[in-house]
Amino acid sequence: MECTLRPYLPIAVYGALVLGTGFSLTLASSIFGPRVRRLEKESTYECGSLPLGSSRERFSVKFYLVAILFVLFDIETVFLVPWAVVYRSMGLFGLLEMLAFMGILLLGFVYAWKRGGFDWE
Amino acid sequence: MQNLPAILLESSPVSLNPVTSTDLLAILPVLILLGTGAVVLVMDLFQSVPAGEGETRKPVLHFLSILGAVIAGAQICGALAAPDTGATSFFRDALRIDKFSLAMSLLIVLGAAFSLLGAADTLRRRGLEHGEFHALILFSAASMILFTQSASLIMAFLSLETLSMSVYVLTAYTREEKRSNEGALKYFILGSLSTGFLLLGLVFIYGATRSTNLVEIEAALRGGGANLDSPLLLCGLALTLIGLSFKIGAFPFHSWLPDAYEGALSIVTGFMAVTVKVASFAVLLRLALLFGSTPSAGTIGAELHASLTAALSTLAVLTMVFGNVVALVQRSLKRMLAYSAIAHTGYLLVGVITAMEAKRSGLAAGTGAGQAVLFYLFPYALMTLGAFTCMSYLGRGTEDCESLESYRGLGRQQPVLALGILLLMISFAGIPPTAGFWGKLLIFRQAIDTGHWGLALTGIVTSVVSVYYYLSVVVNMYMQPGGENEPLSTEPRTCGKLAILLTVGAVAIVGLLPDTFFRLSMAYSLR
Amino acid sequence: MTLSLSFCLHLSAAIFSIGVYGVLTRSNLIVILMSLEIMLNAVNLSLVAFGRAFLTDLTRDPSGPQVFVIMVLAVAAAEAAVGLSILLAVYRKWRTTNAGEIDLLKG
Repeated sequence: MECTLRPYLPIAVYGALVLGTGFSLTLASSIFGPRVRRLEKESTYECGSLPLGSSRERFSVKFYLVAILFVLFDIETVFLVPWAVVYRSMGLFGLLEMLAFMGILLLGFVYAWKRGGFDWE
Repeated sequence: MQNLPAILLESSPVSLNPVTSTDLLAILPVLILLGTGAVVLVMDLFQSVPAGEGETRKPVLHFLSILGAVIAGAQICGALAAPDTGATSFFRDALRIDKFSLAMSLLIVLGAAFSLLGAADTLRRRGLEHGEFHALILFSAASMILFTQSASLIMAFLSLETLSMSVYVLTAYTREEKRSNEGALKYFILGSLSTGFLLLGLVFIYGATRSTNLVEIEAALRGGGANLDSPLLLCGLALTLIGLSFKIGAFPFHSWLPDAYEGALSIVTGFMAVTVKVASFAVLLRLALLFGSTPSAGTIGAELHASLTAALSTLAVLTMVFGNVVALVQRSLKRMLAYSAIAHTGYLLVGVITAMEAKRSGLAAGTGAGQAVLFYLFPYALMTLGAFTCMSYLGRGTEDCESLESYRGLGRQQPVLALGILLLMISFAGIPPTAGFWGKLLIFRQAIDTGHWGLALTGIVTSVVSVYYYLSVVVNMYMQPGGENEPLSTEPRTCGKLAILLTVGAVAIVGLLPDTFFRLSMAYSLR
Repeated sequence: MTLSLSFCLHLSAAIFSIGVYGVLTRSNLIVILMSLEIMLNAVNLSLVAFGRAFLTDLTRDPSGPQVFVIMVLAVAAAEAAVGLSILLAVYRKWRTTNAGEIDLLKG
């Protein structure tokens, strides 16, 4: 077991360093840092402005629709990147293939648009 | 990085394999189905709906989509009628087209065409005439054809996922109904679970044989070489079998099936009962013959054969017994037909086992394996389509009549519809001389011939049991209605009448001329 | 520095099992969806492992597992989209995302 786990030693050292640094810095600031207890200090930090309410509220269903559409149109990069790497050697054939792919994607885009997928209200 | 081969480090030119016109011609039916689906979908976006009751409000939609399916079907028929030149590979061996896959594709397109034909009335009755329905049916039919023709593990996975997702959405099509949502949700969760299993199985098979190509996998099996990792291969095969068992609804993996069937529109239920089963059995048969019947150097071939036979036999017996027994106690016709679909999966599994035995003991020249599965599936597909098309007329507005008691008096109210259901139920039960009888006869004969007495006996006993629940439908239809409860039903219009007439007629023809269809299924069996 | 194939396969199988366990036992539908994604990504891990292990086998095309991984990624995204859409439809009618409460179909 010792020899099979040996390659993981750098990871273990790195992990120990990360944990050690994090803990020691937190510890140091809690020991040496000044303590001021005021209402503004204790409240949630929201870019300097006052928070408007609890952050534990439910999201509107509309966000899910946007998320669904985002996931669908986002994943095309998975195909675009490998294509972009080799497109020079693929020549005209590669271009046509990608145009066909994009055409189908465009069809989906038109569908989502016309069906009101992008309307917020 | 030091042990990477040089080929990956230098920027090697990509080997160009452009798609040729032969490739595109080979998948012309698929392209037609996809093209029609896309056209119908986009056309519906820009179509303003003429208000008012009366005739079908979107006749062009129905007409175009049915036309697309019919043209694709004619294309496949043409390819089937052409002289047999063996299996041909297309798209760098991603697809392999032979007579068997063409015959299965034809069944799928038939399923799509009949569903579209029967759907016009239901969709109008419920006010759900949208292009999405037609597009989804056409898209899923196209991906099912690709699934039956796939010769690469990647292609099989992709097409299976595409067809599954179209069918999930079709199940949820009536989204204003709670039951439809629930059925689709269960179907989606368990279906995705099963594709996860299947995917892991395919990846393990790839890892064990070092190839995603079925032809190369067969070569690796024949060689039985050092590259073959047999525990990994067995593991992968088991996982793949679990995944496919979910799709066909074999016993321990059936729990999604009754709910999805009940939740969906009757027409959709008929469509998915037929086409998903046809496509999955086509691939299951191909894989079973590949892994269970390929003679190999070393012990791996015998090992695979023994484990596959044991696994499939267990599944078959459990499925036949469970499906038939649970169908006995159902009070809803749709649920009863769902459990009977599970039972028929059991009979078909027996057909797969006998095909495996036949292929292993050596085929005579010019014959193939799996003709029993084909011979069974063809009338079964028509019967199921017909039955669910008939069922789609049992309801009014958005309400359906489902429990067996609510059919009382249907024989008097709608004599033609009731007669259609009567013929289909007799055929389902396998009473001679119907199409269902010949299919069962061939499967059980072959089971006895290959020495699987137990399977044949289980099949025969459970078929006898099934007569009870099929005939109870008929008895209910022709009984007097109890009190004021007339059955809810609507009159089929031209399209629906045509769909019912064609399916029932075809089932009757197969029942009267079994020889012709037996010869056809021999000719189209898997070499 | 080598990482053996069987290590990766065991890890992948373990993550896959976590996904299966999640699908079968959790009642929150969103968590079930996440578990389904875990399953697919676990399979991707073993594909990567196979791809690395077979690189030295020059008789095979090394692009096989890479193409497979890309396809699985795309399918996973599509599956998530379909799953979320069905979930939305369910939520609109049932007003719950708890799988245990959705129990109209029985028998």
